[in-house]
Amino acid sequence: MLTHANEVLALAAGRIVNTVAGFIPGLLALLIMLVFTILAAVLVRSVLRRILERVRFDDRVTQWGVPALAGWEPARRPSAVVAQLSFWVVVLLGLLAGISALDPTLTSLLVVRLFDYLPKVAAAAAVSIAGFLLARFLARSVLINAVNLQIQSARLLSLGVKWLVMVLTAAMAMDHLGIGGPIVQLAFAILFGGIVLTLSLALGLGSKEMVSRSWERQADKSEREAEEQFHHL
Amino acid sequence: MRYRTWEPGVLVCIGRLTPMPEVDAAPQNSQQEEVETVATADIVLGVLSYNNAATIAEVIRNAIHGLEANFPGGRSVLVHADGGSHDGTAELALQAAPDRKTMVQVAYPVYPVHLLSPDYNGIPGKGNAVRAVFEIARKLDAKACALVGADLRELTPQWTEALVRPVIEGGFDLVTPYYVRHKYDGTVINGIVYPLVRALYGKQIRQPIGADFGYSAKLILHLTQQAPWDSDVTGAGVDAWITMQSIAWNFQLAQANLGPRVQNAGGPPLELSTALAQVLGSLFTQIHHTASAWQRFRASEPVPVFGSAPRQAPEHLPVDVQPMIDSFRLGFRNLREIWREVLPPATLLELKKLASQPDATFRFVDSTWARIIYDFALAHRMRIMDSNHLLQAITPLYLGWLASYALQVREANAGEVEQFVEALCQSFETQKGYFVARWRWPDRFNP
Repeated sequence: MLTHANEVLALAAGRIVNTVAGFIPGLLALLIMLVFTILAAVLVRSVLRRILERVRFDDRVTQWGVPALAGWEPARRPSAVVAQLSFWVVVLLGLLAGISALDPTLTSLLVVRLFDYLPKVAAAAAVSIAGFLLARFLARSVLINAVNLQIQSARLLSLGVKWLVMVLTAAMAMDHLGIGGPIVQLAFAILFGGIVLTLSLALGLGSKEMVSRSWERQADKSEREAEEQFHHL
Repeated sequence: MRYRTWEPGVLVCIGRLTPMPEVDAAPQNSQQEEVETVATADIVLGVLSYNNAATIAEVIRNAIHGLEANFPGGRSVLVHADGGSHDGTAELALQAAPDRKTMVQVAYPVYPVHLLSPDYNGIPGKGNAVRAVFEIARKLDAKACALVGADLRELTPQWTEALVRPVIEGGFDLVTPYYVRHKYDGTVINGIVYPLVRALYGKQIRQPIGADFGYSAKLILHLTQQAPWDSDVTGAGVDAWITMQSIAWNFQLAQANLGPRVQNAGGPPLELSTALAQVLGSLFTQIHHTASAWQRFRASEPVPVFGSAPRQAPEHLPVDVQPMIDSFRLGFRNLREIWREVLPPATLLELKKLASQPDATFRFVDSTWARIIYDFALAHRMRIMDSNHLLQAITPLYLGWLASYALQVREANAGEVEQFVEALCQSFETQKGYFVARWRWPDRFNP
């Protein structure tokens, strides 16, 4: 009996040793791959940062209206963010390559799932960028026109329009990514309705004097002529 | 509404204007023959109209009378260019002409963009209208061409003489109008256009943009030979373009003393921010295109004035500046972030002090105003933001300047107002160096 137990233990130990022995080279390959990947990622980050600084990427992004990162600390400038992003992309690619040394099928599955999801990510990114630019443009249009129409709550109107478009954009992006499902749709509906109500109140309360002046002018044409005191051109 | 989408060209009808004529080879050939039938003319007088049924007949009669009385020996042709009026303006014009053989009615391309956003001068696609008249003048080999607007209530025969005689007898190429205006009329001209053009281009042209001009054959040939007129020139910007082209290419300039310009009220006035955006947009665009020209002018020189119209300005009601001051303060509170992208910190600080000044002592310093205009011109060139946003954002600043101007000239007579405007022009000329430096090295002065 003891002999039998020893034989079973020896067999089990042998299997474990064989499994580990089969695993270690792959693991070593993965670690070596990671080291080289990190070195390459650091190099790519450094080169990319230099290129972006040379083409004044930060100034151009500012002109495009990307919200200012808090404090504009050197580590958080747009060029630094892009460079850091490139670092992690290279590391991720290296990790995928390294994992293939452990288990080729696992890598294939991961890559297939990733490429399946990429179009949705791209669509969500495009929708987000377009929505952000549109929100900024519309907010500025509303602000300037409301000020020129002497509406006191011009800034509130502008913010409302901006958030309206951004909430809509966020909901569309999350829908593309398949995140949240009905909860996101419900939250969007509540937020959207709230913003529209706020805008209506702001417009109504802020422009009531302008509306009443307009009605008075309609009723009394002589008053309208007197108010046209300047012929600017 | 039907839109005409024919190629830019000239369709000439001697006699009745046919609405929406089709463009094909046969009619154009016959119209060309009709132009050749008219043969030549010494003077072409162009009348541009759009829904001016109330005044067109009087304008045409007085214009023709002016030509016959002042230039009896010359052959004059009146060219009427209408922008598609729907109140019978074209028919009334034809009826008003005493001799249809000396009147030409011409249609010109009016694109949807001209109709969707009305121009401050009231003529849709004015540039195309001007070009159509110029083409007729060239075909008729005219020595001089004058343009007047059809919205005038008091077009005297002396107007045509004042616009045409300097060209024919004085050898001048461009005759700009010199109106007698009340101190509260033409404030955009007084506060921005005149000082800016004078400082940059070195010519003291009192009214660089307007509705009534005289042109020589040489200038018309130069203008029509330019590359196809772009959308800015074919629209409201044609006046600024012609004036600046004339200066940049060293044509001879004169001014015609036309007296008061009393125009018909017409439809509802264009909103101030829209009108300001159109005027400044065309000015800034031309400044960009003629940068090599205006940087070489150092000081301004006077431009001769012809004509003997009376210098009595029409009466005007007193003004209330409070709404303008309030607009400026509202703009400062809400548009500071936008202004910050255009104006340097020093200017913003001055605006902050101005916004907190009591109404009675509300004063916009001339040098600050000049620098603001220059900064906006530079921002327009650098495309810091959407150009419509940029140009409309200047409206509260303009209203602030206007309030300050109105307070300072409230008790002033005409002579004192001219002195005030002269001082403002001097400020613009003094600050030109600042503008040139920023123009040449924009990176060094980023706000």
